[in-house]
Amino acid sequence: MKFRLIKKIVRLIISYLVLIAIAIWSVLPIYYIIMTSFSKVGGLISISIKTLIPNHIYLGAYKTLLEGRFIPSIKVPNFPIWVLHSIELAAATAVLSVILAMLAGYSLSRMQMPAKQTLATFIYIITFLPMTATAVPLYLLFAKFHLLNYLGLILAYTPGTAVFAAFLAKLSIDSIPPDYEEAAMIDGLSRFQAFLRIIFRLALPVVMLTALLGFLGAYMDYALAYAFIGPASTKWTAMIGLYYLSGLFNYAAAPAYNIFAAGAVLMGLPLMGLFLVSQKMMTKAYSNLAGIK
Amino acid sequence: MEYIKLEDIWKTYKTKKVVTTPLKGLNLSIDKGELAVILGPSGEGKTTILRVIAGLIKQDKGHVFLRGKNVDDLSPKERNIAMVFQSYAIYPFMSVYDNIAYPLKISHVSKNEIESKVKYIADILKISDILQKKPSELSGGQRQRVAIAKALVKGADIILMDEPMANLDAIVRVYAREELKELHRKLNTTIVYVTHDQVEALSLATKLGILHDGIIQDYGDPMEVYKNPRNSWVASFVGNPPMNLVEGIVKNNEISFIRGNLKFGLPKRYLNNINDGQEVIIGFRPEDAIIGKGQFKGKVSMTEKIGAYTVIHIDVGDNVLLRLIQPAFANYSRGDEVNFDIQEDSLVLFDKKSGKNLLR
Amino acid sequence: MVSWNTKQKIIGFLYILPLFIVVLLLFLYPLIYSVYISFTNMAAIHFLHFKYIGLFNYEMMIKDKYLATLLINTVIWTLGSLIPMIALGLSLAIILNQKDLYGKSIFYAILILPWAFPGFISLLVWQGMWVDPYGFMNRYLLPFLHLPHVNSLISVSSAWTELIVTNLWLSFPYYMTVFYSGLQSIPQELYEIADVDGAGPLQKFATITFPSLRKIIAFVFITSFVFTWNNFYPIYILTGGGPGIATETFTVYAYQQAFSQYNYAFAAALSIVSTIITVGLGIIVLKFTGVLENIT
Repeated sequence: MKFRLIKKIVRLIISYLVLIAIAIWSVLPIYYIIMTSFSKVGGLISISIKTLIPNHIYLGAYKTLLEGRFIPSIKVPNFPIWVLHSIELAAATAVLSVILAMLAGYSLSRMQMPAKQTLATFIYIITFLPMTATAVPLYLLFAKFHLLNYLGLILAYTPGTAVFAAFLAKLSIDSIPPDYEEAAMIDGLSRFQAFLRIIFRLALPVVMLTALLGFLGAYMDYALAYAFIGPASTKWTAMIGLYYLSGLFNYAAAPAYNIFAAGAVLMGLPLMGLFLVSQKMMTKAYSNLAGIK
Repeated sequence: MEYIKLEDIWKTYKTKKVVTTPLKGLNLSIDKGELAVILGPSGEGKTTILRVIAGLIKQDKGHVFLRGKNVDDLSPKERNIAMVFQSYAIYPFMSVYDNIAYPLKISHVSKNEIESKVKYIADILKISDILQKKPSELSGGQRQRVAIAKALVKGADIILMDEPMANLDAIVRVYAREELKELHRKLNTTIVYVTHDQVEALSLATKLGILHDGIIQDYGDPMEVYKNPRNSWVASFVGNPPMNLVEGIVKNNEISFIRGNLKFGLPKRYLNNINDGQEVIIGFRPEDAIIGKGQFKGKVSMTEKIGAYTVIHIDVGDNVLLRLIQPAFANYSRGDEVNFDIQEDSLVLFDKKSGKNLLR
Repeated sequence: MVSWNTKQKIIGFLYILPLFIVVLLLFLYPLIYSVYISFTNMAAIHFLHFKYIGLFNYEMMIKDKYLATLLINTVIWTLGSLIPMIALGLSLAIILNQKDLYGKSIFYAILILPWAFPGFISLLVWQGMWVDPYGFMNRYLLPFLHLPHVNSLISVSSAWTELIVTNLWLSFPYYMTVFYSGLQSIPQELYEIADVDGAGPLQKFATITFPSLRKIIAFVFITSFVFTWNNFYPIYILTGGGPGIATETFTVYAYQQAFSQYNYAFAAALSIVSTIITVGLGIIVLKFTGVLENIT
């Protein structure tokens, strides 16, 4: 009896030690960057252990981040305008993804078509290519059609989210009884109107999830954005801006490191919130559509 | 006047592996103001009929006429009908009021008019006090009323109902039936109502239709369909327990069972419709027999006490079993020898080959 | 006249058409175009006047050992990332799944932070932390733990260490989450029966836990394999493929060839090879996981 108790205590102590060690490791970089953003240090070299202990909070880095004109050719504060660009791109991608995904999901769920499965498989397999694998050909092609701009980026971001979301939408629409649309059609709507007014509303969780995934995907992208609009700093997005602030383009020309830290925190925390929301919605969506695994 | 007419309707569904043809040349005419109930086994295309009338799907062949006009090429909204779905199809994201008002809102009726109409209908259906609730807060019976209110509010004179009582408790269902009858009398709309529930069908219908094998097997006054079915399939389907059906042969104005030694005189009304030597199916309802006296003899092989009555299975030889209904207090047990008689005027004869009622 | 059924089918196609067109134009067409480019000498210096040079790009890829190096690097990267991630994720899931452990939800909430924090930003932060000798890792943490310095600019093994440790930080919460929910779906009765039979913890793991999770582990391994194979940002940001091309993978190298060296034709050839491999892996995923049966 005593032996079993000791075994249990040893097991729990080891468990807690592992958990605490990993938890510290998990939080460390995030904590480190938050503390740096509240400090006065100008470069990596001057970050010290003291920086990590909060004694006084200095908001100068945030002020510089929001008001600063690091690149002289941009006539307005740099960072806010980059964030604005990102939001525009991400919002447009979200809207486009929702439209495409819902239309396709509705078709896959409700319509009797020949070769439906072949079509679905084809679409699914072809999007297995990650955007970075098609970045090069996409760039070359868009260069030809003068699409190395925001429109081109939106077009490039959309299909990845839209295809994934189309299958989510399909499963979600499967679970909506067709009676709802048919009732609406008898009430006086056309099939398309019923789709817009009834199905969109009933599938709202998936619509929101799609929008969120599309938004995050576009907002978080760096690779394509840099490839398409890299040289034009007036058109940069928030992620290119952060990359620049981190000193990776040119360490010597970058502003102080605490400004990068402020940017990382200012972008990171809200996006983390959105990500957690999308995870919750995803889990819910999957548990509603049991049998995925 | 024929208000709804289905002419030679065919419909086939194809999925990856299965091809089903629920409707195979169906004909049906429903007069104005009827409450026509279509009764049929599950999965035989009852809902398909409603969807064809509504225009939600189009028949592969044949024509649909509403109010005397061909509507084959009209969309559901142009057909000016209303429908109550089995699931009720009440939008969960709208209040009861908005649900009922929705058909009017779509057709851009003015706000005041919508309000007065919804209130009027809600009053009739006694749901005025739940108009502001969300559908998720309603009981099954309330939902059904809301669905019917939504169907009525448009003022469509044709209403289709797809098993609207299937999701109600047994007790609620009895009241709902009475109210629907009452409502129908009051509004005098034409209603097509499909169900697989016999009791519901018989008690609601002003006209009863029996669907089987893709066509309407019988259509008419419900008691007529019950007492004098058009063919032997209808006889075997309608009623619980169903009609007794025994093979027989006609000879010298007498009918005798082919198996089992029963014999009786041919009722006069059949004299002109039957040939000597013709093989028939003899049908009579279990309740149309008298037990305890009479010309026939048999042995009790089983008794089912249902409560209100008792079903007695009588073996008349050669393993031919007849089901007879007796009052609950009847006290027979297995092995008893009993005398019984069949009321002659309740006998129905069908042709053995075609199954057709020889008098209809 | 078109029959009603045909009309319905056409309408069905109309709904799916926009997505189909987008996929064709943005995936298939670029792919075909890059096949074409890969047979030319298109680069910054003759962007408009490029010409057909046959299989030259592919020959160069094989002859100059690019293909072999990239393939080996990508395999090291993929397996080197996956095995520790799955091991750590599974261990943490098992630790968290102990009935008598208090504060599970607090630990879980903390442990998923690295996954929730935007990966791109985390990588930028980590990049700063790894800088030798000023960064946080080399200046404080590694000396504190009595570990040697890590400098990805000069040492290949350092570069891999940096990449794999950072990628482990980024991804272990995902594996932990998947395994944790898998563990929770194992019926508790199974363990109770094993207790009655007198099984020890190791026996219980071998006869109940592992067999129950086998399907999930396979699913996670295969899908993550494709994802990690193509994962771009960690290498691009942390080592840039260096030192030399010692940590370059197909995706990163193709990107750099195109957008830093402006060597489009060679980049296109690399993308084609990488695409062929990805699609191959993708088909394996589909076969093994049966995702398609669920979605169509």
